Amino acid sequence: MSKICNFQTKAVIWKEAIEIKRSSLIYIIGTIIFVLVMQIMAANQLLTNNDLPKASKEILLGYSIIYISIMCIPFLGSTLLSRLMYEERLDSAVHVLLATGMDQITLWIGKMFITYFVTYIVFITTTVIYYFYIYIMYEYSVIINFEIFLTAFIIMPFLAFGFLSLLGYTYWVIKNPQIFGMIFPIAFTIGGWNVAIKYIERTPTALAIAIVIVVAVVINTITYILVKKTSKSQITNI
Amino acid sequence: MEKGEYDFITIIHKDMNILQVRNLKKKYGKQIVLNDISFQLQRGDVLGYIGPNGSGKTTTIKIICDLIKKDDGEITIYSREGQKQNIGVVFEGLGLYKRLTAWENLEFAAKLAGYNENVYKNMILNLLDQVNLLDVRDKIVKNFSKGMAKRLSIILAVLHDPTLLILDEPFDGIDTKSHHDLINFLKEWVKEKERAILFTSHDMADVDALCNKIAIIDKGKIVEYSDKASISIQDELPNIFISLYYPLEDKILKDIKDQYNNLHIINTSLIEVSHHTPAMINKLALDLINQQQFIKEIYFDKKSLEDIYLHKIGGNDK
Repeated sequence: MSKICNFQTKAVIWKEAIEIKRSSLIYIIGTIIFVLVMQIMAANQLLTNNDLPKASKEILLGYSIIYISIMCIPFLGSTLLSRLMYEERLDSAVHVLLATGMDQITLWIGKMFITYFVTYIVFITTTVIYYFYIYIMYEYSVIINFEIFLTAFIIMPFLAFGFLSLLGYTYWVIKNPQIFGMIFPIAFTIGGWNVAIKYIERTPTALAIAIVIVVAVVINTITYILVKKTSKSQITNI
Repeated sequence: MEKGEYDFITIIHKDMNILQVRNLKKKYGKQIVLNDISFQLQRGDVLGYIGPNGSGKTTTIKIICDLIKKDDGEITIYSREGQKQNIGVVFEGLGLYKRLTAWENLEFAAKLAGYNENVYKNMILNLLDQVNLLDVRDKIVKNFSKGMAKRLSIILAVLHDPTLLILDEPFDGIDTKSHHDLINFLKEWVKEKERAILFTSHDMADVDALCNKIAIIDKGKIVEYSDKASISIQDELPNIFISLYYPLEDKILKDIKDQYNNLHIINTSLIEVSHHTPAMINKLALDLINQQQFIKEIYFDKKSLEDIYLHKIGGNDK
């Protein structure tokens, strides 16, 4: 707990926030626009379908929010992690930090926290814009019931954060991790995520939530153990 | 007191070692990278740790910094009471955050060291001023020249007031002015704060200018370790030069050449003597005086640090 709240973690978060603002602001705005265009195109098809009643369409619009988190968190997260972790190794900046007494867990927690925070804020921002766009342009409400709220805003992001932490680990210990950065969002989106959603649809909500939380906790715990066991020489060997 | 890979001990005595490396060994597979490395640094010491590429300098530094595990040996770094970050380090790659300004880089280091804002602001201003970076404090580091970046990386390393400063090739590729400023800054820092510096460089002029101790490492073994003042090629007697006020006449020149077979006449007013004994030098000097010659100076052929270094590593500086 002390490593989560200590002054060094806060310093890392402060520094990474400045770096993200300077290096990734355009990418963040681009991600929001790209995801909105994709979502609105999909929504347009749904809303022009006359076979469905308005109430059903509004529920389906609510479910579509799950895809916003799918697109925002892994894609943006993998880019941010590449910059925060891999570039720091390339510039030997991480060497100095670890050599002067900083432990890798504190550094890791700071970097993952800011990645989770920024990707989640981008996801929420995109969702809010999407909500009001649909409401203003089509006069439809995007219904967010309890199930949608849990799935879109808690379960899926939590699962994504778990996988992001695994990706972050590869950026930290592998010499040429770019290939993982390319494969991860694609595999996660068209593979694992779709499987997860289909599974959740067929499973009672409570059970689905429990399974996803267990999976996410297991992934995060495994990554934490891996990071703890990683020697400084592995991180600085590049 | 903190226990980790090393023993951190609070400094009590002024003459206590800041860094003690004893019988350090490291192997990569079957290849011996460091073989029984030992040296120590006391307060105010600047050790020039020099050797050819691949001799084991950076491996030693990385082991001291706890970035690589040692196979055997002992490393003790002494720290002040309550001090957590007792090492400051500058690697070849500088270790700066290029998207941050100079000020933000220093502010980050200060925050990591746990300083309060009202404390670190003055410290940063003072350090920036000392290396002439005050005017560019709000400039993004990506736009810095190499010299400016090096100056910044060095003040970044000393910001938390470490006991031991480790510099791995810190002056590589920088302009003369930055070079001069940094050497002066480091000399002052080590003297004023009574800290110690472990310094690697390929430039013997830098080592000569900054260090008071020299350790020459070759193929993972220390082949020379002594104070700079007493470093010499001990297995080779240095030649002696006798310089005269006026050129020697041909006849006198011929006479002394006939008498002494170990002379080399560099020119008519400078004689080099090899394989000499004190008695022989005395006799030669008296002979010259008796011949009404005026001796200007008698001196040893003082080898430069570079000569000694090349001799010790067998001229193999890759």
